[in-house]
Amino acid sequence: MPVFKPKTTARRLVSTTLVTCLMAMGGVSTLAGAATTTNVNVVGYSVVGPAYKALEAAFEATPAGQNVTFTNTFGSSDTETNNVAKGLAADVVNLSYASNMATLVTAGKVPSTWASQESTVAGVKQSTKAALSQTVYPTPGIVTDSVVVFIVRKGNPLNIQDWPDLIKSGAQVVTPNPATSGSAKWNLLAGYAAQLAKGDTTTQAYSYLKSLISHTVAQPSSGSTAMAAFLGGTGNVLLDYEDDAIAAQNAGDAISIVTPPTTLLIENPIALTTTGVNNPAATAFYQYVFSTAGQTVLANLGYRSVLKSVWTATSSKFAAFKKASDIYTVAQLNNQGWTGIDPTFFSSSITYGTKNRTYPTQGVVTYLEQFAGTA
Amino acid sequence: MPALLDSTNSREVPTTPKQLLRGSGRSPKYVRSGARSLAVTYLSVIVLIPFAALLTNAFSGGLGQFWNDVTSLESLDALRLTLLCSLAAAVVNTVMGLATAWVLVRDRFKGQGVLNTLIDLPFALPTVVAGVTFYALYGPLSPLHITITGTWIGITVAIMFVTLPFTVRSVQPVLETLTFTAESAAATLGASPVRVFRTVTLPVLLPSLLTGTGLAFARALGEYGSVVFISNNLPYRTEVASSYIYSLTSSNENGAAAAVAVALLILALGTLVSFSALGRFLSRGAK
Amino acid sequence: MTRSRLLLRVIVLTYVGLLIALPLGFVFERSLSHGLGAFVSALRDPAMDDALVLTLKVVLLAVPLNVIFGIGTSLWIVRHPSRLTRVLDILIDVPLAISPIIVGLILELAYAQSGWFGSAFAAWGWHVMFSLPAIVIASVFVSLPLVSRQVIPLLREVGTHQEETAQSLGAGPVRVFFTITMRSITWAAAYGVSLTLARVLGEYGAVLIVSGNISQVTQTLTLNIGANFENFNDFQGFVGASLLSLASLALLIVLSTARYRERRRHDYLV
Repeated sequence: MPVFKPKTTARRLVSTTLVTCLMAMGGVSTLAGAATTTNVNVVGYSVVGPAYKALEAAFEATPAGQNVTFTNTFGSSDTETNNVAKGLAADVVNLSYASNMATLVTAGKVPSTWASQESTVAGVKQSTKAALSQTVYPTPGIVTDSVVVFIVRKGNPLNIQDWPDLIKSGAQVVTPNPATSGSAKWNLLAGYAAQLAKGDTTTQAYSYLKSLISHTVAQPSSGSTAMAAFLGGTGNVLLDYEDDAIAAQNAGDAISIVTPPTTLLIENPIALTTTGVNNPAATAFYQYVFSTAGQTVLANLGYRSVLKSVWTATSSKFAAFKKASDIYTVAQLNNQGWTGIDPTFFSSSITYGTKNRTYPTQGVVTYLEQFAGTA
Repeated sequence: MPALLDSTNSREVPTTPKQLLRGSGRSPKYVRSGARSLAVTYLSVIVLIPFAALLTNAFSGGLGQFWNDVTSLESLDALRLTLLCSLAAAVVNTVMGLATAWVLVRDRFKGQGVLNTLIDLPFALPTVVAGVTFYALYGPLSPLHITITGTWIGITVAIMFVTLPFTVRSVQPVLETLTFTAESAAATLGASPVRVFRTVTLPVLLPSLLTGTGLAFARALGEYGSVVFISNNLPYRTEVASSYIYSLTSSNENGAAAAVAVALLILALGTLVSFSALGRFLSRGAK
Repeated sequence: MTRSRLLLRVIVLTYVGLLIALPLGFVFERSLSHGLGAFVSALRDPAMDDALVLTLKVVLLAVPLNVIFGIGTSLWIVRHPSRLTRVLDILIDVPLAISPIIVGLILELAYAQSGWFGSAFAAWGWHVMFSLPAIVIASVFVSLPLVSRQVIPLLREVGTHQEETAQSLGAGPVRVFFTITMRSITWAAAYGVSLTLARVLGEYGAVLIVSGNISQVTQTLTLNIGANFENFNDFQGFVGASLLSLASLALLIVLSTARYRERRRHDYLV
């Protein structure tokens, strides 16, 4: 009988199987997010998903979009930011708020000059930016504008019209959880801004936020689950992006949209990543999104265009505001913009200043969340 | 009598009864060591390495930071809510699990097979579907006019849905192999059915029942998908531990997320181990 | 028929009915609410079909891995008891008790590009995270003990009598394993496999985190269902859920009935 070494044979068999399995899986894994020049990896926040479906279809019909394929990932803005930072393939990123972009810049995934891509890549000049009533929003790197609105039951049976209605007895507010949703951050900052707009001090505005949060009956993890909860019968008012509200209405949901007299301007940033700038298809798509054609697609889906020409053509679809100062911007809330506002309101660690100890100087909303649902 | 050596290989051929009973089908060393290294590699990649990463992250700021993360107000509220709801669900499902297993094994009626298969359904249904469905059936627009969303009851019911298979399937096999002999003996001696159950049946079932309860409770502690939606997720009020951990990872607070996860795991594993040990201890007594 | 027996039956049926049957019925009702034709055409949705293909790939990789591991470990635990196997016996139940969020978290900590092993793998051009390997690992993790838990009690019950007889008659260990051991645990293992399959098909939380949820690339069927619910496509979501439930139910029915009959037969022989 031939002497064979069972030990080595078994070991060899085991290791070959293991290696083959891993290689097979590795081979398949490199297929995800293929780095070809005709595939564009798009990563965005959840609400904007359907808009990109339309944009991509329209782009593929143009000469520049021939033979271009898309790989799409949409989810909560914070989650997608973290994923891209951890290696999720992305050429074009469209996130909910500017802090997410800053995170990606720190992680080296987005060039620090991302905001100027709007003019350097897409050729958009300041003078062609939108003028919303009497105000111009020259923030670079923003692909769509929107405002925070109230969504109520069809016909607005409770006649909810303005921010004070949200803290009346019996008000049941639904908003996503600010710890997991970019949409929620916009919602709460809008409530805060509305108080400043009518002349309140910071402390009084914080006090309003406390009442607002105490009137929440649900804080689902994302904007879409908040919408689902509201449509499922919870609460009597939902805070949301105007464009999401319009999308829900177009989908036939039994809701009414109430635009409060004063609210916050929502600006969603877009950028070509460090891999995207070297991807001709991605660059072409980025240019398309900022073109008149692309912005029109977005406007038809409920987004306020950032291009003057498109805005003028579509402004009738959107609620108008009495005066320019009725729409607050994040820059007005904090001169450092999101870089300053994000930690002040949403930092997970609460720190107090030396003077006034009623409210913290960092993590105001985090502090106020303990009053959630106590109204 | 010395063992004979087989001429074709050097393995002993068992001849005496003692030798026959010993060495329960021992496979040759090479198969065992090859299989062992494969199992160890498999376990490492799947379980051990990720756990090591978790522990490192949880204690990255030192023991003090770990303690702060776990005992923050929001964390404590979340853990307390999760513990209470899981306990309630585990208790209900222990009773109902036993009852269901009883009906499946001791009773006989049409549709019993359907009942038997339904028990495993929570395994197969994605938690997100369970969440949406429960919201529609037992939320504000409930066709049955039962609204339990946003309450601890809703959370408990969602957990009951997910953990029923554990208690039923733990007890069912034991109940199947149990014979009527001991029970009928007790009955002929004059004991009432309840007494028979309490003194004869229950002690034998108790170990597996406890294991099932432990497993159900441990599983309940970590449930996310079906619970987070029905709870309405209000921080400090109806936010469960898994949802709190998720919100920490979203805000990139990996250290705190890992810390609370470790706390939750200690609770879950502690329950699992102690209930299994209790079950084993009691089974020795029962025999 | 005693009154208490009837009462127990009613209580259990009501409980299971309200808790499990009603939700399942709701899912089917929603998916058929636009008629059978709409249901069938919804099945042809390209995103869902891609998700189905991906899910099948995951199943074909994860289930065999866990079967081999499950049966091997069961044999080890039952036939070679030691302190290590006692610890293993307890540890093996652990994945059932861990939150899917935590599973996703720890796999991410270990295998993401910034993670322990992930950074090393990335240097070699391997991307474990946000791709098929990560989904397979997560699926394997959550279903790790399902086969063992079915097989172990049966192995203990059956004992080694038949195997020793076969061995004394000269059969080699491999032959003993495949002809004797496997025969006695076939139905238990098969039931464990169907549970593993159901679990892998239905896993949402952990896979959501580790896959990156890339539409039509790393979106499994459950993720696709979730995405549909998020984008006002409830109907499509329910169709997917029905498909999933039907697949798992069919498998479970076939196997549990067979196991049921096998046990009945076994009882006569013992």
